[in-house]
Amino acid sequence: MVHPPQAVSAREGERVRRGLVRPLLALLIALLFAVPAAPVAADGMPSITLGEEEAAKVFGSLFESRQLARVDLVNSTHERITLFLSVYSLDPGNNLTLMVPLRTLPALVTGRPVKESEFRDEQLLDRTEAEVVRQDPDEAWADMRDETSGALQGVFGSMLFTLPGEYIREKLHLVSDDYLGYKEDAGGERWAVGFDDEPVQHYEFDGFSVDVFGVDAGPRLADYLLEKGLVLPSQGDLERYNTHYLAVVEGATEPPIDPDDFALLQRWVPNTTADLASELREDPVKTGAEVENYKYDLGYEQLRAELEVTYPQSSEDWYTLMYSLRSIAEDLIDALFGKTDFAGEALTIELPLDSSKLFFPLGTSVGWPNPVGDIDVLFSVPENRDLELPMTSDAYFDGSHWYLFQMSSANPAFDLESPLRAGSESARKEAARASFLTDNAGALAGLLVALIAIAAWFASVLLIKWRWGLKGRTVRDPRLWLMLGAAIVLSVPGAVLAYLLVRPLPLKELNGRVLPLAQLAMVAPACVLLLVGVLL
Amino acid sequence: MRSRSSSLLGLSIINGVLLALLSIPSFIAFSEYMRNGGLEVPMEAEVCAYIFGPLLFVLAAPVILDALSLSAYATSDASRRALYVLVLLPVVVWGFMLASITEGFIPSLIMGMPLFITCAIAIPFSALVLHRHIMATLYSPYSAHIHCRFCGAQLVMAREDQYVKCRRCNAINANPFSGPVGDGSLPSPPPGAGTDGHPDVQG
Repeated sequence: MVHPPQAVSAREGERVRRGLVRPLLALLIALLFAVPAAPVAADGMPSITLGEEEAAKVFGSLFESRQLARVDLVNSTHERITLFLSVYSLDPGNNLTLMVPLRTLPALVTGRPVKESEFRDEQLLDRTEAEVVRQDPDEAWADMRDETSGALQGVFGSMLFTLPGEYIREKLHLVSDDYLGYKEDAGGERWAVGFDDEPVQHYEFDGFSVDVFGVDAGPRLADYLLEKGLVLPSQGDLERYNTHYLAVVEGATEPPIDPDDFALLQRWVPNTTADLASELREDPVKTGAEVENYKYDLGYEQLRAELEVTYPQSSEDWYTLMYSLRSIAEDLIDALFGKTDFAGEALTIELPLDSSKLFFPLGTSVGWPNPVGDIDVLFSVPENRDLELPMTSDAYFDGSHWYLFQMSSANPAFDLESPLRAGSESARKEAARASFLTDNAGALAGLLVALIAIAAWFASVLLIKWRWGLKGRTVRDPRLWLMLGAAIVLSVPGAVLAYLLVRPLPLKELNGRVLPLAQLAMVAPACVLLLVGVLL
Repeated sequence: MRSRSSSLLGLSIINGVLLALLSIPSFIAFSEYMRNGGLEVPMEAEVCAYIFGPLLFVLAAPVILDALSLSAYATSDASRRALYVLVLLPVVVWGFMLASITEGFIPSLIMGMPLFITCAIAIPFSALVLHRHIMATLYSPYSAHIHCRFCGAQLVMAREDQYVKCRRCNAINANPFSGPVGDGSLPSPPPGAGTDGHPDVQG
């Protein structure tokens, strides 16, 4: 999906072009959390000690659906990080603390509730994803090869199978399990937020608050966690953030579907719900067909069997309840494995650069107990600047140079960090060439194959003329062009039949006729070129 | 010739009936396709495709071969058109069916109804036209059956023609019925014919 350019990007690019660039500092997400050992108290303060059994249980049911972020170079001294925070839990109702480690004290923090699709649209994540593919030379040549293959098959397949036959061959295939697609549904995710303690900076927003704690100035991260009774899931991997500032977002865990529906599911079929959490941990990525199969297994068999135990089947409303629970379970499965548009919070933090480097603390992902579904981190610098970021793809548009880091179902334990470099003019030109090739692959492949078809056809005509010693026009003969068109629409035997119906010559007299003989001579090259198209 | 022409007519009618039958499941499957939008095939149509699809190839082959063997007797424009329909239209159907050979002919079966109906009418009709032409030509009172003096091939000629050219060896054969009664001599050869009845070959 391609989205319109954002004005903010152009403004940033302009600032950078004015020479304000200096590598920056970085940031952020360390998503940690803490859970209460006992049911959450009314004041929402967590009270947990490390290793407690209940904490492990709740911790294991927590999932981060998306980790989306964009890092912009605002000017020579500052960068801006925009985060999408979305967390859901299959054990809802517990307090949750998210902490974003920051190397420098933020100059500005803003935030607002947003849907994932809106965030991706606004922050140009989808557009960058499309542009990265469009400007990749390998992808461009792959597109060209695919288009040429399709055009070769289309033209020469039509000569052998008729045009409708070739359409059928390319487009119509019998239905298989893979045909089943994803069902989209919206899962809800909201944060109930409250803060205490004495932050270095405090920001209030519509719906939630952000406190920034200067850990260096006060307790260290580990001390802060101990003091607050919070648990870090993976202490060793997160030690390097101990000296960072923290932006803390506090909330409560919620399920990915309507909480009332989820409560109904937990009440009547608790084992089924627990099994769903186990399945999500063991196999977090499923294809459309696998999701449908899992829905059947869980909703039609396991759920029904459990409900027979927990609710008397003799009740008149047993079937009503069973159908309702099945529908809720299917919605939940769609939310967990499908393409749900998650709700979350967009947190924007502007902060000074650190050591003139762009930095993103991706390594905080290890703080999550389960693999993060989709990780997309987008970096934006002026188009005359380059970054050295591992495992990223880049693209140029809207006056900026974009770097996109993507992973799925992973917990990367490394950070993204790069100094700013002077841009490469040759790389930009290569990207421009690749995007031209991608944009015009269809037309170029069509032209190429049209030339091949015309060359093959007139070569066969010349061969027949030479073989039979015939004179006359070739390229300027409109009947030859007409027969070439007829061969593509009706197939070679169809075109010969049409010719012979118009001119019903005796069989022996066909020997000296260019038009039908050239058609028949086209059969062999058409077979070869169709094969080439298929192999491509 | 009579038996070959009759067998061609019979085979063509069987082909036509087969194609007409095939157009029924094709129509049903096409209706399903239009209704559902997916290429799901009813069991009946699938069975028809697996049975009639290969049969179409098998039964069309003798039609083509028979029609080719009768090509020398297609002497009018209408009969030649009929001949070419009999030879080439099954080839077009073959190509159309082969397009979906990897899917067991089923997509072609679903979309092939117009072609099947066209062929179901055109093939038997063309065979009938050719058969009637051959019968009218070979067995009319105005035709004469002779054997080539040189190779023995059977030739058919109009009784009023003076000469007939052998379709096998190209020798010129005179009409034995056109000379004066009781004369017993052959008519003089046509211009360009050699003394042995074969055309002179120059250079």
